Amino acid sequence: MTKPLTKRDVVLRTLAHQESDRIPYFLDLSGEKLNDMIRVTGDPLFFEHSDSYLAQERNESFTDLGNGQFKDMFGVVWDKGVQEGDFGIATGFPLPRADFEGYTFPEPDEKLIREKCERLVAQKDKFTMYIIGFSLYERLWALHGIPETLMDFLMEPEFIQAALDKIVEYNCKVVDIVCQYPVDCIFFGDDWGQQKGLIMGYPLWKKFIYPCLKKMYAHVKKYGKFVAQHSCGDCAQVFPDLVELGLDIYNTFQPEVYDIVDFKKRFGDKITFFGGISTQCCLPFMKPDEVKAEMHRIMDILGKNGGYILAPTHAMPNDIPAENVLAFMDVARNENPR
Amino acid sequence: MEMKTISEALQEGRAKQVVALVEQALNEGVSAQTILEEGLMAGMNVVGEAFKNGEAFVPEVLVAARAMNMGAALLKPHLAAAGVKAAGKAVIGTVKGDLHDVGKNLCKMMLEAKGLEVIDLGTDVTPEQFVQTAIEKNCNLICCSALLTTTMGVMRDVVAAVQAAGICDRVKIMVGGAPVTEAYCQAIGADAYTPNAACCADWAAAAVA
Repeated sequence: MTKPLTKRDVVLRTLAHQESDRIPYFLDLSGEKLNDMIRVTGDPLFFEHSDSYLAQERNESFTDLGNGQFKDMFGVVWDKGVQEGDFGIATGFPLPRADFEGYTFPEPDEKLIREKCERLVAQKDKFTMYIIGFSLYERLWALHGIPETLMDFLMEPEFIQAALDKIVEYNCKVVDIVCQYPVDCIFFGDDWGQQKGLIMGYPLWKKFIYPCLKKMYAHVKKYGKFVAQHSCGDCAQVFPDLVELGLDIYNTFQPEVYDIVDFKKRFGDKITFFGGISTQCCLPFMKPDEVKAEMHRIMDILGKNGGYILAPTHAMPNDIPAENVLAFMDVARNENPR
Repeated sequence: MEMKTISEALQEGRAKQVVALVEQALNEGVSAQTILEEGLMAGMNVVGEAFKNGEAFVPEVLVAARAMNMGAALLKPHLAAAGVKAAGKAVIGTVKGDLHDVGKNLCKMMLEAKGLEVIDLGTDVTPEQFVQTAIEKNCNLICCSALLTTTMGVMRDVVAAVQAAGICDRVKIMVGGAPVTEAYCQAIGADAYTPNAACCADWAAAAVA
């Protein structure tokens, strides 16, 4: 008798571009939406009971300074009290000028990483992802400011390069620790996309971001792990580069941004798409039966020959009605396959 | 000095050089209005067109706008003394609950490059603040930005507040931001949706002409 596939097996098959009897899924909820779902369903373990196929841990910790102020591991203080359901707003930048005066880059928090990896490997029936968010451009702007970073791509390229080198070095040290554990995948987060096109434009992306990705992806691959990349928005222009660099999984894959039929055809045998169910157009606005129909449409397109992990295009924010979260779960669990 | 020199330095974002050139032009007796229109605004328009055509990106726009602002600051007293009036007036802001301002700031820069005066209310702006400012400062345009689906609904409230204040005949409402679409603009009864900052400035300039 053959052993039934574990959740991890199903994900590995989709990454190998093979179909299984179901599409692996991940219920990605914002903290606020999760609290809402716990309230609505009366189930304090609503997320755990979603039976998602992925287990994730994030390489982050914040020091609570009170009054909604939180300090991250790079010394940036975020005001989280001002906007619901978001990362907050940086209250100041440690690198206000194009130099490193008075600032020392942190070392990875080894104890924290090990704790998180222990939690991940305790869920070995799932596909385990260690997330390094704010991994390049976003880390840079968190330290230096958004307009300043964008302008200094042009005006202070040596500073930008030096800062990115330090960020890559940090990320690779994190990977070195994580890869001592049987974790499946390193997931890099970094938002380059606008609704249309890259915020820094392709030439600057290729000049600065691409070489960093090349180093980081190669470093992860050296350990035989999978690489996932997250960016919101429109990164269509860099897909050929990401394929060339050996990227395994792309998240978020917004259907209002990409021609998903065309992208599945062009890149679907090389990259696994992770996301696809829109938090911008579908989940907040459609009725539950429309959500279900839209999910089936996307699953039919992206699930063909594997290479798809069903998920919302972003952690579901609090404007998504509870019925639509439940509709998402109903399809993921009970109408998969249709 | 040829104004083209100022325009070209601005297009490359060389702010210090733009300042020096503007000073030199003023010393040579070129009028502030000529420097503004044929030097600074002309240069910014080149960058705006390139941005619209996908040949320049946010970094290029930001460095050019920084150079423009520094040059324009020198011209301000001269323009005021000569009684030069702005082409029109806009109040701009990111709507209540939303703190994302990169797109809003780009629009502000592009609007100024078209010769409009822009009153920037920043982020987290209530419909009442938009309307009150539009009335008090006699604005032609209200420009609302939102990045989130959770906040773009405030734009509908802005339209309602403008209607309630009875100023629809003299104020146009423009909307933009990642989740906003033409269909959404029409559904809430705003006057214009534009997909990027350069298009925003084009529409605004035509509306106040």
